[in-house]
Amino acid sequence: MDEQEDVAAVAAAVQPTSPPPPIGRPSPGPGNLSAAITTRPVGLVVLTGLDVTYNAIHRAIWDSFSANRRPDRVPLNFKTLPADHEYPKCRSKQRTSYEWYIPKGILKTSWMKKHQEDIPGLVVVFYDLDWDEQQWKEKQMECATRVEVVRTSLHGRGSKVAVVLIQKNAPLPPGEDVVAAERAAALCAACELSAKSLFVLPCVDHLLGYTIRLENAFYELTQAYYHGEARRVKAHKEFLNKTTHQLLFVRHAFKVGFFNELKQDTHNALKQYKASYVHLTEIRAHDTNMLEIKSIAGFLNYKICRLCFFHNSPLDAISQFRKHVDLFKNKIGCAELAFEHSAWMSKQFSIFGDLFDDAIKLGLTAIMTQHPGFYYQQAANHAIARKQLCRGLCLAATSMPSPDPLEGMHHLEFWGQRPWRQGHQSIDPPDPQKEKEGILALQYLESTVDHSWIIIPLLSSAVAQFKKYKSARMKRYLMVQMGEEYYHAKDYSKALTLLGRVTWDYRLERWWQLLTSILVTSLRCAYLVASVEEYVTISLELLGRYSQSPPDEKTRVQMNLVRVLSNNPPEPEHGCATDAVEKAKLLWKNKTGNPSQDESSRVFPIEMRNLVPFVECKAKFTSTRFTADSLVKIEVYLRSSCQFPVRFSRLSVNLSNQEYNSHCVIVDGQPLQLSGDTGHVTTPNNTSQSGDLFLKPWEVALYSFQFVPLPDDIGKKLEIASVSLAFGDENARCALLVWAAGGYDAASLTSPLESIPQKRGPTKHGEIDWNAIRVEPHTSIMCRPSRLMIKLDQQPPCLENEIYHVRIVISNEEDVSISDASLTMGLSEGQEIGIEESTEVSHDAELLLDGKQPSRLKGITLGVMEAKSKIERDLYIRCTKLDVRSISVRVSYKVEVNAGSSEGSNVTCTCYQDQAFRLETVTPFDVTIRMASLKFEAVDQVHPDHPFLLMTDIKCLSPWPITIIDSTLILNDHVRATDEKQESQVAKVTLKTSENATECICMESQPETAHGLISLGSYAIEWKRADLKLPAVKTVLPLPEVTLQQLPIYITSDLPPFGLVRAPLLAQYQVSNKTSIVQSVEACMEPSDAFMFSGHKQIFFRILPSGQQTLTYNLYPLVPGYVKLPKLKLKVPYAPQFREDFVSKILPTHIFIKPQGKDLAVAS
Amino acid sequence: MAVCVAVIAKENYPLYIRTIPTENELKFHYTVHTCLDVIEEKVSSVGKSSNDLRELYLGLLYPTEDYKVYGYVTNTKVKFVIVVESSNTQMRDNEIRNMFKTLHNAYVDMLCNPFYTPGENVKSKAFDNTVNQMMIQD
Amino acid sequence: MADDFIFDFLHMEIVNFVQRTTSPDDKDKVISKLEQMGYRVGQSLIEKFTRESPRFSSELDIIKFVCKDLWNGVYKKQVDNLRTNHQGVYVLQDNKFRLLTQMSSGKQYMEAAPQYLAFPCGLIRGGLANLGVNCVVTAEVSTMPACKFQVMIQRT
Repeated sequence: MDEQEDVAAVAAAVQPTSPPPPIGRPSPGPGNLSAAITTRPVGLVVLTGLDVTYNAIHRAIWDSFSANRRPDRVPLNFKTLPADHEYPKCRSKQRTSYEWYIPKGILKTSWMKKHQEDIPGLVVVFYDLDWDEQQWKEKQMECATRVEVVRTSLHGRGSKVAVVLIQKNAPLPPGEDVVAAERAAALCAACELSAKSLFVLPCVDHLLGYTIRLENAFYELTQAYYHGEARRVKAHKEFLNKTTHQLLFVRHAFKVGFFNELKQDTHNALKQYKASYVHLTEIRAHDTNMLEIKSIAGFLNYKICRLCFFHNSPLDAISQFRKHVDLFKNKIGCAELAFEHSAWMSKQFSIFGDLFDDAIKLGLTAIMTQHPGFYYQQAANHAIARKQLCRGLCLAATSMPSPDPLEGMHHLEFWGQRPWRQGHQSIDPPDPQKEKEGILALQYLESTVDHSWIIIPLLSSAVAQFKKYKSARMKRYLMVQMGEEYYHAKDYSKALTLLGRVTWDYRLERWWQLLTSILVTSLRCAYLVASVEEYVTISLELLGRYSQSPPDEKTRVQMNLVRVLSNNPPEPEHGCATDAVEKAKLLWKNKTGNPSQDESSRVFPIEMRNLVPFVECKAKFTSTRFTADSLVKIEVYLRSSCQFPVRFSRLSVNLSNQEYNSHCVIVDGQPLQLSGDTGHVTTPNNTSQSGDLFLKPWEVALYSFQFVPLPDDIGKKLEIASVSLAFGDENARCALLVWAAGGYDAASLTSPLESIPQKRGPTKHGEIDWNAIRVEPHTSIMCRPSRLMIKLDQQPPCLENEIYHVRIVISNEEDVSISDASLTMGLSEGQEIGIEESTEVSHDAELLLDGKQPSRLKGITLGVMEAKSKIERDLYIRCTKLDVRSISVRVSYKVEVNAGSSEGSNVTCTCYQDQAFRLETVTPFDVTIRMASLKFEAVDQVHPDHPFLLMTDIKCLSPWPITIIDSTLILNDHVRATDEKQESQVAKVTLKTSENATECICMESQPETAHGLISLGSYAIEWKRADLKLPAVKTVLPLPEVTLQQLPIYITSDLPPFGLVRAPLLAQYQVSNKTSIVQSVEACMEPSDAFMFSGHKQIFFRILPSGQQTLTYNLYPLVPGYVKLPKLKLKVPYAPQFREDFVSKILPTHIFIKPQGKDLAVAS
Repeated sequence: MAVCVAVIAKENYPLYIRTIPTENELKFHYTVHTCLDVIEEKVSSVGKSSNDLRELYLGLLYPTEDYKVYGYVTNTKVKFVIVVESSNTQMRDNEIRNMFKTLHNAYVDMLCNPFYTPGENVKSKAFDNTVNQMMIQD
Repeated sequence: MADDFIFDFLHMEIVNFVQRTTSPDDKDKVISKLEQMGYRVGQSLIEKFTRESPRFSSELDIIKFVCKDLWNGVYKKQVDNLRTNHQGVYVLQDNKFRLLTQMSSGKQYMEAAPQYLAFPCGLIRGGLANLGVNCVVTAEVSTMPACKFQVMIQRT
């Protein structure tokens, strides 16, 4: 994109800066249009009687007419002239017969100008006169005299005359001023003027408004005049005959057209011009009148096309122009003056281009295949043809013949005639000798023309158009032509710049034929301006594999290139102008004589990605990764495609880390040219290798480099920044061919073919497929692989909360001892924060019991390890949360190794051995804690003073046996164990997988404690793996929460453990009042089939606060077995929270009744 | 008949250019190259306007003073260009169209040659012969 | 009749040959070699197939051509279903893909399918590339011989 803009900028810059051409003398030139034809014809109005110098009012009036003529005002041209101005004379007597009249030419050169500038359509006489003028008579007379003077000076021409009275007073409304009407009529009569031609201009405000009204009236008057003139000319037609008056047909139609144009009747004008054109084509054309016909044809074509565009019918304009060109393109006329025809053609095209462009500026839209650019281009082509014809025809014309036959060529009477035979219309020239001299003079004149300055601006216009219509390639082609034209114009450096800008695109699109031809021109320019750098660059490409130059030409270029790089001047290029070559020789001599001290001008780099040079390069690392203890290897492949073998002086690879660069240099000590002088051999310096950089055409040469990577580069990428190949002598003159990133020139970057390694067809024997070599500019430097062994000794899974033991066994498998070994172990990086927090690592198991430890241990020093030795380390991990953790172990160490084969290349490498494992944490045991009533029934609420049972159930889930060292209950204040002495019931118990251990503790809640949900405390189990000698850990579990509920009435029973059938047994129930008020209770004993009983079946009683009532029953069991007791029901009306089912929950419901033992009965 | 026949690759580089024997062969190269502007414009406008140019034959690209340049683009964006002298007025559009069809067939046949790598310059005798037929002056 | 099978047999032999001549631990290489072959064939084939067809007006037009004409030419049937997300992804479904019909109907030999689909994938990619549509083509088989080809257009 930028490139594009640049090119356009150059093209644009080129156009205006080109100095005006030093043409021999200002010449009308064939096909040139005079201003008379190109200016738009508008009617001429002459204002007389205005004193614009001394009279301010007159000045203001003049200004209001002449200044600020915008397009909305009527198209008129105003002029002030004195009243007695002499207008061009009219032929005294109108011709009444054309019978004997032989026209001398088609159109007089003066005619159009005369009617545009000299002969008015209207003459206006301004006169200061108010209606109430005192000396009216005198003034009226003076006015009439003035009008008379004007009429006389018009010499009987039909131009209209009008009078404008400049008045100081504002006019009265029409009809009211009787005096005015009277005097106006009198004045008209005196001046012999129609009332319509008398105007009044009050010099009050709104002058411009009056002016505009006046000029509109003037416009009408001029239109009438031009209309009359057109009719007058038309009338001549009757007298003409087709044989002798062909020229007049053309002339008259043209004049009628022109008058119509002056009248602003463009449609009739167009009709007349077209008619005129047709008449013109009917004239018999021969060498003598050819120029005249073409000149007039050019005028008419211009007029027609312009009017067509004006009428917004561009297609008509284009087709007229095509017709015009087709009609005349083969009408060369005088063969010796063929360049004149090309000049005319060129002009036709450029004029049409301008017309087209003007129309576009006024809103016409053009398209890619039809726009002014094509016409400018064609104009340029004809101009180029003109130049070539001039070369061929004008050689003999070395001087202007004397007397000058072209004398008066700027003051011809008729358009397009030869100065030496004006007015002559016969087929043969009247004087052959004069004719010869005239032609010679024209040829001489042509030879002085600098055609390039005609061609370049045309091309430049075309470039601008093609750019506008998005035809990039056409634009480029035109720029090439422009460059070539600059070359012909001997502006070599400009040519070089311009051509240099377009080569890239041709290269990119792979049009080698075109590129080669451009480069050939560029090379000439580079030679002629003695630009070493350009010369070398262009030569490199002209020798390249896609250059289309013939072999002998390539040979010549190569020999010259070698000359230049050996600091000698090259042979001149073919086809250059001799004077330029002489200059160039001098330039080269100066350049080569004394080698510059400044290195930058001696050694110049050339980027290969910008061209397709004759030597290709592909560099690669032999591997995409190298370890720190191995040699990094680079291979550079070179292949030359020039004609004969070539020798380079230095090959170097530049890497991203410049420290290595000294290892990657090859210097060829041989001079570039094998001449007698061999004493000049540079000695290679210490670091560089010397080698042979002599490339034979199409043979692949391979150069290898290797070096030990620096320890700092481990883990980094290494890149080939560039490969450079020095061509020439670095002390004298040297081109540095630079391939960025290890290869690729402009062709391999863009070619789809060069990126496909496959080639069809059978492979030739021994052929190295150049395309198969891949450029590999990147590599990575890796650590040397470690030769340590890490073995982990552990018994997974890890149990939650335990101290997990890992034994790390490190064995040194290196052949030598290692130093600075250090161990890092712990949680791998980047795991969840929860895992991070629940993992602790330590080398001391006891530490893990004491407090928070880090989740990884770093830099545990192992020190020096002898070869084949082993080290063991014990590490402990504690995971306090279930999950799967990734644990990593890394050992780093240093070892000294030998890289490569040469001794002394020992390097100390840091190596790492990593091992990671996944550690799963599982629950060691599952503890269930339940509460039960003394009846072993599950309860969720307890009552003060009423004991209950707490049962813990430990189920082993660990795959490994675990030993419970101890278990403790840590109780809250609300509860206490009923046993005085608490001892763990499960201590020293070892559980295998799925085995259970259960504790049962009887507890009682403290009286007077708050009721509601209370937590009981916690349960701690101290445990460890059964088979390992590791510290035990304590796992604390919360005890469940219970609801503590106060009761108003409490009941206890007193029953024997069993009874005997038919043996009475005593049952006592104590009902106690826990409230602070007297409670009345209704107790009722339900009958039962299994018992007979004595005691109150139903009883009411009262209990004092904290009092107690005992109910006693004698039960007499009737049946044996586990039988249901009679049910005691209590009703406590004043304690609403007392629920009846409470009794059945607390009291035993069944009792075991033994049968009556027979033996026993006998005994008793 | 034709004074220049060209085959241009998808990527716009020339695969084959043949001209009548002339001093200024290069001019034909430029003519063919510059007409790619118009071809690209025409092809890229397909599908955008309602009066689609769905035919592979693009017709007259643009007339110059001396030559008429015709274009044809395959679906695979390989371009064929035929240049005819402007003075040759008896060439009808249909004849040009048929010439392109012939050229296309010859090109596709040429692709079937096992020794031809797609993208290479065309160096086929059979293709040459087809083109020769088109360039015979009658 | 016979020419219906020539391609099938030849393709089998090609797959076999490429497998045999590539080291077994380089499975990707087999796929990429076959894909490359398919690409080259597709490239040339499309030149022939599009010779008579009018200029394509859109990307979809081109894909449709592949589904109908190219498929018919190579596999003697059309693609059964074409779906697109209108953002450059096209799924061509063939319920009875010719190169799989003789292999299995069901889940058997599933792991062998990629080798037999590499060439067809390349064929599509090569054909489309030559028509100016650069894409990545992948194949997916759930139950033989049905097969889905996914064409993902690469816009640059």
